[in-house]
Amino acid sequence: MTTRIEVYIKENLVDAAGDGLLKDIEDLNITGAVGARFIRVTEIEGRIGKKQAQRIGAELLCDPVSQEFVVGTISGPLTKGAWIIEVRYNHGVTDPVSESTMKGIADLGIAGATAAGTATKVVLRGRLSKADVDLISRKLLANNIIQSYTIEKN
Amino acid sequence: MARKFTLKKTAADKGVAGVEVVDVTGATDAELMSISKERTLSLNLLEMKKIARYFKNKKRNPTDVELETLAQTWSEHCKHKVFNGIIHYTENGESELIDNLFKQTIVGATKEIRRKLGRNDWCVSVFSDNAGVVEFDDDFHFVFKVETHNHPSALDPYGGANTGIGGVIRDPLGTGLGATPVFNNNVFCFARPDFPHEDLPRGILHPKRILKGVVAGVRDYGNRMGIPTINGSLHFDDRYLGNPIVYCGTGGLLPVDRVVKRPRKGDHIVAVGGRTGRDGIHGATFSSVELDDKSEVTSSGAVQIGNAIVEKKALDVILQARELKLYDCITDCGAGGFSSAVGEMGERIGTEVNLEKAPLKYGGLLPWEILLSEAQERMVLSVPPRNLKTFMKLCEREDVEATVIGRFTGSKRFVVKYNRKIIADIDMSFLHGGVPRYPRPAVWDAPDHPEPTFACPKNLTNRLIKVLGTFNVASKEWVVRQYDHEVQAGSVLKPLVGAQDDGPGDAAVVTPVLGSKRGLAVSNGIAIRYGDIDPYWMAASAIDEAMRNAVAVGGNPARTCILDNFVWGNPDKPDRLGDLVRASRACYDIAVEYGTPFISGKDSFNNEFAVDGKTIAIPPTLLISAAARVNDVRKCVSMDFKEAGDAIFVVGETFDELGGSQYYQSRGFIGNNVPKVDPKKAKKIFRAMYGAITGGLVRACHDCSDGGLAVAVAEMAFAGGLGAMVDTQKIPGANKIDRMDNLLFSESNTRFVVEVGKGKETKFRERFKGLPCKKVGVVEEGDMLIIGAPDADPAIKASIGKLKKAWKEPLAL
Amino acid sequence: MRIGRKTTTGKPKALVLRVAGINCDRETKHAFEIAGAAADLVHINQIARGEKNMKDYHILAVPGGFSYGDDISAGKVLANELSLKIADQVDAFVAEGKLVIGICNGFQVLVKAGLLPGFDAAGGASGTGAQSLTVFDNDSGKFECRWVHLKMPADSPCVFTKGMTEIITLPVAHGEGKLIFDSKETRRRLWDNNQVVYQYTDAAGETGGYPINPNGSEDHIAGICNATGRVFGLMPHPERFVVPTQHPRWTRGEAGRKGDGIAIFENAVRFAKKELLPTGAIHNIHY
Repeated sequence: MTTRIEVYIKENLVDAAGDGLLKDIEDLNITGAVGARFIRVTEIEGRIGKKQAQRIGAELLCDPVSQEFVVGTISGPLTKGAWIIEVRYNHGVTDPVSESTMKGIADLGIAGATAAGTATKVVLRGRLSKADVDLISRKLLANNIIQSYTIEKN
Repeated sequence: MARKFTLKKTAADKGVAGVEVVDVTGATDAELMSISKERTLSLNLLEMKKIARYFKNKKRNPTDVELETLAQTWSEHCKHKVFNGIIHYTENGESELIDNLFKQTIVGATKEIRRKLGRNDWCVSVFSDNAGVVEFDDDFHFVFKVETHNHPSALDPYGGANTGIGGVIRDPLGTGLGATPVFNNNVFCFARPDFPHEDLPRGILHPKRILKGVVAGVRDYGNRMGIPTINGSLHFDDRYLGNPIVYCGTGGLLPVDRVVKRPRKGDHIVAVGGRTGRDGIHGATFSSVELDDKSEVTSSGAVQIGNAIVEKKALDVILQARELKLYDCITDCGAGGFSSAVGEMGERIGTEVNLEKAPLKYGGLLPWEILLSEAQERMVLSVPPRNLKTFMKLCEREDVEATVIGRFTGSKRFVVKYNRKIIADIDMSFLHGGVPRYPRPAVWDAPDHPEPTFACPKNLTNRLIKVLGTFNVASKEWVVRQYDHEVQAGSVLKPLVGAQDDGPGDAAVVTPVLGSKRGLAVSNGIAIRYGDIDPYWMAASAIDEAMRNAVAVGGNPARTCILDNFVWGNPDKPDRLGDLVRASRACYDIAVEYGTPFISGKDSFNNEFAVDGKTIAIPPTLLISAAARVNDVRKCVSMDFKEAGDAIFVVGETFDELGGSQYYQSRGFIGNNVPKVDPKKAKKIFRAMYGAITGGLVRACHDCSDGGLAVAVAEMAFAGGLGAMVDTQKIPGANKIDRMDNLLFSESNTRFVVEVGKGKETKFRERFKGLPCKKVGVVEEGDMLIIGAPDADPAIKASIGKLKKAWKEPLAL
Repeated sequence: MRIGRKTTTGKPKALVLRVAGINCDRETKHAFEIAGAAADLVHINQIARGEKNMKDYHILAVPGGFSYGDDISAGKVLANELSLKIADQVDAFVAEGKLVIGICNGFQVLVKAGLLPGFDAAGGASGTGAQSLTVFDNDSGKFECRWVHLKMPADSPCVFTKGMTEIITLPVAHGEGKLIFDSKETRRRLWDNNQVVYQYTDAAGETGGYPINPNGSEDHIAGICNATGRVFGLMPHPERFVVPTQHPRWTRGEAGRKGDGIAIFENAVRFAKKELLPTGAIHNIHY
């Protein structure tokens, strides 16, 4: 079973990576993007209970002062009406975060996790066509040699 | 072609799942070539036939494991067949036969220098280990290696650069019994970052994305490793569009009693660090393949992401085990994976690998994939049985995975087993000595470029602003700040220097031993555009530039070692190979005269990109990296002007040498008057400058390179926050140059601009008796840079603020 | 003068913590040694397994680096180890009034482990609490290595910076150095207690925007201590400025006679000698 935890920067704080993306989008001659925020997705394989997932979110993955998290997929105003791009490594590509995540889970005394992987979710706002978002994904966010991506309009 | 175990009497015929026997003994020439192509072996017909003959004598066919092992071991990447091969060379109509260009030039230069040094030879181990080794102080030798990681960086800039830096760190770590990495350097060549998106050919990433990805890759890996990135440069030319160049280097310190490495019979083969996966399969052979617009699909196995923490952990335990003398030999798992690492370590003794023992990232790997995988962060050690328990305990304590995967046997054979069944069995002598040599044609004809036709502009201020703002000259601060250049606390001269910490330093200086005053000045030289006129002077200029940079900060020219990194196009094209001959010969001539031994190097060919039936070849690119010893770092100087009223000297003569210059390029020309080097005179200038600096006569020193004197003086002024007045008539060589623009923008070699303090001028002049050296001006209060002849309107008159802005803005990405 | 083997018994002992990814351990050890301490590099697993005991030390240093890769949230995995794996030893160490310094990644660790701000720390109490501030992504969005000026805003109780009222200069090298609070209350208490040890300023001591404040830290804060002044965390690297030639402008005569950073280690050693070493130990030196 896969447990999904999404961590994001509190809305009142600057998302520097998101701002950097907006700058790069301008370089592509795409106008209309007005907001970009990054969400870090962690997927844990194995038998993880609900309470355990909450603990992993609160005590390992999320910084309580600067971030928030949900177990599952974020819904609500943060993503509503925005383009959602999710980028993940292809199978077999080393995910350097996986090992430290597994260690962190074990340190919490939680057994049962068999594997951990990460993905990046980008919440993109503005007057953008699907083609724009696809171009942004290909040119700036995902490298099809090692990564794949999905696009959704929320 | 491939069938399952039908041959009798083969080592493998008992049948091992996932191992194929490949029929080469009965194959036609065409079939041999299709085997090579289908399996991405990158072996030519001659090599395939040699292999077929070997196995015919053995009365069996090879397994895929054996074939893959031979292909990796014989790859251009591992054996440098072009450089070591036979060349039929024709230059301007005259022909000759060159038997082993590499031995004649690069190795030959070092041999000659060492012979001349005699008992004072300070080279320790050159061209034999994973990195070059020279003397440093009583306790440590200095180890240096620079690699390229071009193809992977073209496909995935972040991962490519990431694993490039990770890979080169393992070279010093795998040299002798393991050197402690003390600095990284890196040099990149890209197409213009503002290249029009709409003109980008298919299958190519935009150069700006490549630049950002590469910088991030080096940053994230180097910073995590805790190794300061102290020196580097960036160069832009649109011919790098499909083939960016990523040079990564690492310097290290090796205790003087840990140079000799030799596995002993009975030692365990221990794999340490990362696990083995399908990543990086065929990296060595892939690096010999021309890229095209389908490369991103077909070569994805060669691309990987690094994991710096796994490497850092392995580094930490290996250095502890080194102190405890727990192992006899060590090498890195680089190109060719276990097959190369184990094969090289056991070359003189023989090995037996039990492949099923290798820890894997995931299941489903074929035996040959396990053997050949170039998964990152792995080292191979030979551990005597008596030390095994202690070694394993140390690894376990620090959460480092270590696994015994075999033994050194004494059989002088390369034997691989999988679940106790033999799947490879090759004589070490054939594996390492069997690769055939064959001749290649090479030709070089001096080109003739149109000479510029424009008149000398009256006002050169705008010209200077333009040159300062070219990507090649402009500030690289955006990149430099992202690298930790302070970690390990040895920083003496940083990459950026001056009143505002943003002037372009010539070389970085570090004290790698905490508490010691002895340092290393680390620099580089590269002269890409000169190669369009003559690769000989391109190479000569690159060596001169690396030397100038090291000497300018106070490095000892008599204790400077250099490294060569040739990145070239397809060597089967005679003109590309002709360029290599010209460049290599300059390497010999200049290095021998300068007394700067090559201690290590690397060559990378086939840097060409095919799209729509057209090929874009990179310009022949030679990077020279240099490291000079500094006896007492407190004598070092930086390039920024220090105080108003000090004298400005120019050392070295300016000639009308604008061929390939930034100035000509900014006006759309190449020209033909390429900067040359007078090595005998240059050597005297370097010695004199070293004496002047260590004698305390110099307050600031900057070399003249891209953009010539005008750029050098401007940089010194705005880095120091001071103005300057320069009389152009006093510049050595000015009387022979009739154009002001040529005088100020010529890129003649072996020149320095020097600030000399009050009361030191006479002593300074004495040091340069008989050499071109003249006082040309004064450092001034205020912020105006004024350059010109005293009887005319100044050719250049601008505020340093304006100049600095023009220089800082273009690459603030 | 004969310096016998017993000299070292008169030196305070510093434990320089190592884990995977910590990479400023050697220069931190060196800084303590030239400041007069005896320093050991100790892997956290050695403590967890009982091979080494924190009781034997007077100063704990959590050096800079990228502990466990820092990929999750800088310092978080190591912070959890401190507060889970070796919590008892760490708690006792701080409660006994021994000294702790966290530099860069080490600062992030102390904050996330709740050892800082340590409002309730006092003799006999470590004051460890829930995390109430954090060190977040730089405003510039990237890792930056540059030299900064630091000024002590008021007389703080920090024992590491005692008497260091002049403006000092040190390098920073981090991607996550922006200090932010969970509440106005935390911020107020920190200031009221004089627990802000250093602010980023210019050479004249004035605060300002980027790059004077290299990361956008709230109130320009570069370093803080706990209520007893014995636990200190800062983003800049004092261990990287212990000799003049490390200064970026030493060739311009701006470096002074010794590095600004060394005084921090000397203060710690002096304090430990006076307050933490058993009486008499210091007199074991043979002259």
